[in-house]
Amino acid sequence: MTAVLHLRDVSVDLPLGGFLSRARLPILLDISLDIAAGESVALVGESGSGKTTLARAVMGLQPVSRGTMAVDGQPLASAADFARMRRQSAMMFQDATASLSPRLTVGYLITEPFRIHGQPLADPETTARDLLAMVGLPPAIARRYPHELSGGQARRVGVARALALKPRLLIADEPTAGLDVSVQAEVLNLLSDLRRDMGLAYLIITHNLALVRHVADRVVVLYLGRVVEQGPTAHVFANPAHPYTASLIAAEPKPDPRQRRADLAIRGEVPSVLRRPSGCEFHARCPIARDLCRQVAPALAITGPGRLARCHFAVTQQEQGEEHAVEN
Amino acid sequence: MTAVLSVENLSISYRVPGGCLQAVRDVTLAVARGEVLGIMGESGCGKSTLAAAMINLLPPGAQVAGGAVRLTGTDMLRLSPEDQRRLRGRSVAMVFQDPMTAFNPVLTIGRQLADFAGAHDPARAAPAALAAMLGRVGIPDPKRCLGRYPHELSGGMRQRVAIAAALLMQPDVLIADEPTTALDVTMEAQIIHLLRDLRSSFDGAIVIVTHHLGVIAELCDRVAVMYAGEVVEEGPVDALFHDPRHPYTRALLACDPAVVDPASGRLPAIGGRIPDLTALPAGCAFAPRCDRAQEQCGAPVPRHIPGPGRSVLCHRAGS
Repeated sequence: MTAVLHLRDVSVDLPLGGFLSRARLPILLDISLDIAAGESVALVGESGSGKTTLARAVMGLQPVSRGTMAVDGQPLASAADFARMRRQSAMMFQDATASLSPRLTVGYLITEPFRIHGQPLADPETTARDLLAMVGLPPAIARRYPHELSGGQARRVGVARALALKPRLLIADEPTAGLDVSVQAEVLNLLSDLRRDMGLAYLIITHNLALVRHVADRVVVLYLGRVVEQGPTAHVFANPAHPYTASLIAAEPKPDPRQRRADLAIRGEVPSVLRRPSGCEFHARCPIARDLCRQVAPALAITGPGRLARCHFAVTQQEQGEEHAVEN
Repeated sequence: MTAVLSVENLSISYRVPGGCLQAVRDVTLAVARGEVLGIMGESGCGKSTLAAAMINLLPPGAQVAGGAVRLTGTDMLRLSPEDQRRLRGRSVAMVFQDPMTAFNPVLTIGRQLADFAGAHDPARAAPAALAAMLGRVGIPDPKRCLGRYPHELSGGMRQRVAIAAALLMQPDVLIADEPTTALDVTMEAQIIHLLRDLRSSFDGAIVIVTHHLGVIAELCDRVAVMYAGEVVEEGPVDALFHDPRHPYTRALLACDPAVVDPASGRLPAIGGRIPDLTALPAGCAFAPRCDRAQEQCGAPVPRHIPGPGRSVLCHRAGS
């Protein structure tokens, strides 16, 4: 089966500024990823890990320096490719209210993709009502303006608009950021229902690990623009192979006062991409770093079925199930 | 233990077109020195209005309909504006959610901390004193940090500086409104750790306002759960998480994605919406969304005291 989204060795550089300077700053390095129809993949990492840059690159909002991308087997290279791609895929933005134009009604906003892409729109009112019903909003919402919506409603309107052209791929940037827990549950349930009913593929960008556990089949962990671990979500959370993944999981506050952590799982901050550390870029924050890690950069290697990690001392998993075929 | 900050029967409302929005309704709370009190609730439950009242920074349009906020015995809400300003920062200080907008972008960190400390006590504005405080909150190379501008610091570092600024005058009460919401999980863990460390060295009370159950569980000694402007349940953190008595607390704990088993497929949600705060019912405000609601819930709700330090605002808490 062709992947809905296929990325091979995608890299993004940014110009380092300075007049006539040709220096480029690498932001993303050699990202390879395939997402099948109906599959949900989460990109996780701290701020500055390159998660949002990758999503922007896929949408054609950020030029790619090297590597190939394809949607449904059709390559993404020219502006026309991206225009086609934006009809087949949609993006849910982090700040749902800010992504909706304040002067337009919800009904107009959710049918706007038809106008932008020159698609026929015979009956805007019925279309708007159907889209709202799909995300569980009453038809009366169509006459409201964005400022009259609650956070959860705005998020649903964002989803309705993303679904307008029946996309194959939905890219969601922090879909639950800023939402209350009770509303988070509603949005996450909506995302799972839509995946089941429409066979949507998801690329979810988040640092909310609870969200990842609930909606992602596979997880990709980024650190300083490189994939440091990837694999089936349940396996990665149960037995992280990379110490960075293990630290992220341990850092998550547990909603149980009996499980308070005595020690910090991870210290320090993500280093600047202007000063990438030598060897393994995680070594300065790594609890198990040795001399080798300071000198030699590890490669992304197979650590188990469907699992990859970039660490000299990665925990390998032999005993796990065979149901997840190794990629590539 | 004597309370350093106490809120007594406080009610606050906002005048809005078409009525009067009751943001805080008859709230009574107290926090003692060395104690961390968590105020937990969803958007619109009145927790931020309550926090603003505690430092007397209520927005224009807010009206104190009744009650008092006592800081070491003095009713803050009845002070003159000059006296209030003197207390704010010196006796009670606040850390805000967004560490970027808490600072002036065109002044160095050192200048802003000096202005702040100098307004109360010039001796504390000396660079050495400021650097010592930055060191205490875990800023590496604090002397260099004084010469930096806010944009040169990461979000986590800015939040540390904000905590340092709040602690400069050694206040009696530190109020933190969503102190980790804008941060990555790794920075959040570090800020939680810092606030927990400060308890031992800081001789004051800490009030944490958040919707994040994990932050409450990690940090607080006591918790007050707010719904529609009222404290619906209050108790020690362990009792509240392991033996919640109010149906709202139970529902809130049950729908946190962090506790639900991913294999279960669907997340429980609390159906319905928060009530209209301009037209509240006489009875329980949670009743329309409550799975245990009965006819009696339409009557004014009594407060039950199920155990020492605990209180529950529910008709059925006794049954």
